Amino acid sequence: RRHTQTVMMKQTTTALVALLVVVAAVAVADAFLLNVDANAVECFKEEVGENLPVKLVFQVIQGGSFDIDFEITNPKGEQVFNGHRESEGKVDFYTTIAGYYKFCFSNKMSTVTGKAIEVLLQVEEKGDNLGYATSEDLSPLDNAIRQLAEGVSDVVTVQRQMHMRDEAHQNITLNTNRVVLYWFFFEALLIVALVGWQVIQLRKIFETKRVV
Amino acid sequence: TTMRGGAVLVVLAAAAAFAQALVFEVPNGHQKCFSQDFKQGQVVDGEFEILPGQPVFMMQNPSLMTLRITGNDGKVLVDLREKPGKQPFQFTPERDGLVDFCLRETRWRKGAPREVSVKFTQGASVASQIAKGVELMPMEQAMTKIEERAKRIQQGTEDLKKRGSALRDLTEVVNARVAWLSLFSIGLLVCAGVWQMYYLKHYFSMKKLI
Repeated sequence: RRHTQTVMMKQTTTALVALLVVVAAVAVADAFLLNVDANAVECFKEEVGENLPVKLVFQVIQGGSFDIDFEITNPKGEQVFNGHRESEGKVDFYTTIAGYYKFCFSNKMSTVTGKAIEVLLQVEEKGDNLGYATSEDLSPLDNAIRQLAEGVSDVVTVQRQMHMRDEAHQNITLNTNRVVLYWFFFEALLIVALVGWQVIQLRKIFETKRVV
Repeated sequence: TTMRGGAVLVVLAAAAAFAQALVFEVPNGHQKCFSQDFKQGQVVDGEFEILPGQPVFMMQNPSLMTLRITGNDGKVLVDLREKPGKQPFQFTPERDGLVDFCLRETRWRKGAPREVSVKFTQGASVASQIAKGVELMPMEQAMTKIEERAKRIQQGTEDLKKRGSALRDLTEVVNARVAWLSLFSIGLLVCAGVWQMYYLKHYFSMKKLI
């Protein structure tokens, strides 16, 4: 009887520890900033195990028309996702094979302006599968805590997305502010030049007439 | 004791996970950089490695591949040269802000671009607490982590509110600017038109055409 008790205690402790591992490993990565020069492609890779969730969130926060081309390739070289002229993106997928997944951002559409992109990449690293308890192993309370942990992490991610979006909007607005001023000066110059040219032309016409 | 040993093993296995692990392909004579926001005061742990299966060049000076981490103020926090195997690094940001990570292959050499891995995490991981000998209370620890994240969400919401109102103010400024400049444009047009007529009238009367 004592032996059974010890075995049960061992199972509970392992389950609880596994829960902790799940909560701790629902790690939230923060977004990093990537600069892509005009006519360039910037890529990075991350190693992911098999059948694990990958979450990519990005936002173009600076440059030109605030859009970018992107492509996600699996370890075999096959394209998993791609996007053309996206200003922001959210990609969620489960990996089919383990290995290095490649994420590429292409600014080939731009000849002059570089782009700045904020990228949030969340993966569960290879090797995290050790000791994970499935829903059956955990008691209802532990399950609830696990769900809570996942929910809270999701909120943090969404918040980060909103932050990134706000940054992009601020930059767009500052851009507009500047552009409006330049346009006004250009317009003023054009008006003055046009009026001057009209007057000169009229004078010329009447001078020629006089000569004739 | 075997129970706890097993528990520690499980958690330590997961502790190897960094919050962010990126692999960049750095061609000859090129530089690959990215920036990340870090909070002041909290230790950032990281790892730099030239992926196994690739040549590693042990040069005296200067090193071929370097990882340079520069803080917000331009101060160099970490400067690592290429060596075989994983190189851990650690720094504590002195201010909130962007930290630049730059991978650079300095000298020209022939050969394929090499893949370099940079991993990092900010904030003490659970495993480090266990290593310190802290009593393992799984549920308590899990709840603490959730509480920590909930606080972070709260701060985030405050921050977003501020940013939102700042953006509104900025848009109001642009709005006002557009209105004023449009008004000026119209005024300029009217003035130009009126000036034209008066000038031409004066000119033709001078030339005795009127």
